[in-house]
Amino acid sequence: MQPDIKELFALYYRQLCLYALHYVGTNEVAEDIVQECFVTLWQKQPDYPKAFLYTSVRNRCVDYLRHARLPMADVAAHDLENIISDDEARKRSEAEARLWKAIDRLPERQRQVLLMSKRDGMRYREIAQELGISERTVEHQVSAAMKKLRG
Amino acid sequence: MKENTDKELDFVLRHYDERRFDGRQAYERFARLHRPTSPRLRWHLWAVAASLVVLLASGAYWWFALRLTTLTAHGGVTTYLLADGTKVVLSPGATVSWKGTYRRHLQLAGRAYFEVIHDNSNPFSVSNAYSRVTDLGTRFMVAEEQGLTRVLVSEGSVAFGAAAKRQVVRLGEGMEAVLFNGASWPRKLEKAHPNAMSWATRRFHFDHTPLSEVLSDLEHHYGVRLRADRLDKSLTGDFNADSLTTLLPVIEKALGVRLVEEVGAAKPR
Repeated sequence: MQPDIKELFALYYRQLCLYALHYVGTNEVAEDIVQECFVTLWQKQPDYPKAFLYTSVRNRCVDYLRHARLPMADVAAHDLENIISDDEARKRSEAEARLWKAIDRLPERQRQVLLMSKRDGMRYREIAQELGISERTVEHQVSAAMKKLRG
Repeated sequence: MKENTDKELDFVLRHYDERRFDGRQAYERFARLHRPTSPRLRWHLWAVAASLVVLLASGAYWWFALRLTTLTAHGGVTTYLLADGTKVVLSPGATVSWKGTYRRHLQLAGRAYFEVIHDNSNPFSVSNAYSRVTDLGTRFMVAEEQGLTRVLVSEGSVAFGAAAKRQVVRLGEGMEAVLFNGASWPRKLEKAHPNAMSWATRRFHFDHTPLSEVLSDLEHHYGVRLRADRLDKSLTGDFNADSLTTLLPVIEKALGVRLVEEVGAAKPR
């Protein structure tokens, strides 16, 4: 009748975290919120667990943003540039969960170089120096990784 | 379509952390929390954790106490002029500090407003635990609030970013952004709120501002409650934050409204 809670974690945990992240902007906070929602899910055993999870995550995010005393900010979902709609955030979170997993699966070195460049904003020259490899190798690794991710 | 995929990818890359968002680990944590551990063991763990915290805190305290110069606003709003000509206005309870000799890098706790003389070869910056603001020739406010840091620029521009990250957001005149503690990028607010700096600048700026917002700014600044006989007006202009008794008649005359200060209903600042 009820899908096993372990299975629900496996199916929805990551995409819910990404969904929450569009609201709260912080990995730690997003993860705490999603954890709390799984506890409520476990206590309430609702009929539609996925819908229940998304709704309760959103409510908790909005609560959090209001609570952070933000009368001059908004409580909307954001991407890196703009405000996006709630539907859009839900849709994107599923695609983003797949991308996250794809990054998990990159070869170790490729992932390291990619993250130094795209996440940490380091220049190719700096990455090459730090890892003791050539700038061309760095460039090559980054573009190979991006190609795989764009699929 | 393609564009959306890139936005999704950018978003994921910017936040990716291999130790996070792992459904299996999360499940294990969840399962652990809902299976009680023995109280003896738990007490023991708490004791170890507490003594570690005490040890770390006292260590950190001495380390900082020995090397820090600190400026504080004890009573009211306090203005300091630093050796490089930088003017710092501190809100009550706020502090700025630096280690060793002053090299144009300040640590901030609380809320402060800065007027900085720009020097390309020796940039000025303000940090707290989560954020860093670097001036590009400017006047601006940095405010630590619960769970976030707020930056508001009144003149020139600044670069605002998370403490450990290199990506920054450029904020120009009249722009405002907030950085949630621990977030990796600040978010710009659609509408800035320039009068949040009136405590330091002693100026109000209104630009087609609805009267209800004007009143809210004044209430906040003067710690009073105000009432108008009508709210369907908006105000444009710059005003000195003199005494309220001087300012209210000016606004009343400009808008043709009646404004009353509600006595006995002081609003905490």
